[in-house]
Amino acid sequence: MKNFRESLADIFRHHLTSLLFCGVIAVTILILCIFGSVIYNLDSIEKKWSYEVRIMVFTSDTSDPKIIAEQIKKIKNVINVTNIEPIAVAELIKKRFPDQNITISETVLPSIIEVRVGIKDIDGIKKEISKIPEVEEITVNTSWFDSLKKLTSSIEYVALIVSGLIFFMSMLLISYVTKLGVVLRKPEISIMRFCGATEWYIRKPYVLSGIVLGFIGGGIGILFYFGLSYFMRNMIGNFVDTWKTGTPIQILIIYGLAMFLGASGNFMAFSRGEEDE
Amino acid sequence: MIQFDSVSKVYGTRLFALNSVNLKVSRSDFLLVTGGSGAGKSTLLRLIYGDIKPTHGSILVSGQAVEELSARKLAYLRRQLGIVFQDFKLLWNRTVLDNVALPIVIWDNKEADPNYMAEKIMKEFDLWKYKDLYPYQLSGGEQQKVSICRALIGDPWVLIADEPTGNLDPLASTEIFDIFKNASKRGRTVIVATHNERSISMHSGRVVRLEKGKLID
Repeated sequence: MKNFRESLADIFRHHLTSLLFCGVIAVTILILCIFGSVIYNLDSIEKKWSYEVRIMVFTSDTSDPKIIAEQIKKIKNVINVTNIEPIAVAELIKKRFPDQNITISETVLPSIIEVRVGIKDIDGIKKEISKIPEVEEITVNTSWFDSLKKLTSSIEYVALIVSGLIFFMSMLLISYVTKLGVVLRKPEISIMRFCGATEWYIRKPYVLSGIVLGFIGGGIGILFYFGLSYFMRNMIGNFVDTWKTGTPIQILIIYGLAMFLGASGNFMAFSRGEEDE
Repeated sequence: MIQFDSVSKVYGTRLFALNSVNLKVSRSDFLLVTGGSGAGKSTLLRLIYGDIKPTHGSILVSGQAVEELSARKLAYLRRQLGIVFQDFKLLWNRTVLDNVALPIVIWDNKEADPNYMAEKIMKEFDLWKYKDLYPYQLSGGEQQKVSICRALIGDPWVLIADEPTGNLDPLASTEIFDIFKNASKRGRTVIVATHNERSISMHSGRVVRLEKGKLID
């Protein structure tokens, strides 16, 4: 408790560097949260667009599409099955080419069954559908989704690397801010040394104030992130299934990270300051 | 006892601050280290309290080779020494009382009450009336007395002073030297580096002279 009080007094005594320190942590945590949430929600984006994957099933003229549709519905992981009657297919064609005045006889058009599935289940479901004897042809176009998947995994990697870099850079930045404090307090530190202070005694207030400032800065960063998330949700809500801000455990981990950042940055600064002496 | 065995200190590659110095300081000695500017007086003192390491040779303080001590052990050794500087080295943002009590606070000795100990020694030096003031509100002589109080609060067996009267007028200088003399009479080893010839002539004690890093008895 005494040490905690000392570190608080220290924060107020050196309020300018403390403010700078807090700001760096807040910005770091905000950026980390943004990148983290992008990574976290990429899965949601994939999910949302994977619902759009459709398998088109063409049946033989003699078969009853309704019965086949019922059979497909029973296949595991099938999300939705829609039977498109030849008349509906004709309507679709007419709508698509209104100026061409096409006359199509319903009887020449096939019956199509549209099956909506999750992207991961495509191959298995395709295999199951092909086992049905009345099925003549199965078409599925997933190339666009493969591109989307490649894009999201690239974003994931980039976000991870950038997050790591930001974390490292902020640690350096924090250590420089603290180093500034150490330089300013060099006379005080040397006096303490001459009075018989151990290295830990000198470092302890820095590490403790780093944790306290990490707590404050982390809190500010997280608050800003929640504010920003509100706008992000409104902005990109159409592209994702649900925009998640993070579970309480994840937020706690981020908070812990902020405190670790504060403490380790200060510890690092001290070692660097010592080397320069 | 403090012992220097062929101690040399070289700054850079050529500049000998100390050159093969051999010196023994016994308990309750009052040693005056003299010499001109750059003679190596401060270097000699800094080697005793481990602020710098020798280039060659060894310094024994209480039987421990200072240059071989870990940072932690060095901190504990410094608790047996009281150090006084020319520029006082006081904390300007802390009161006189806090400055004097600082070593006891740092040592974190549960049985010792820093404020009580500070009060005791400050009353002895007639500084108690200044307890709530800040160092910059005191005169140079008073500031030096505060720094001596801080050096003595832990009852060290050695008192080391590096040009303690360098910034003081003759009257204050005499007062400070009287304090050192008294400390020596009480059984402490006192080592004072000074170029103040007047103080040297006024106070009896062992005098060693340094010239360009060499000891001339």
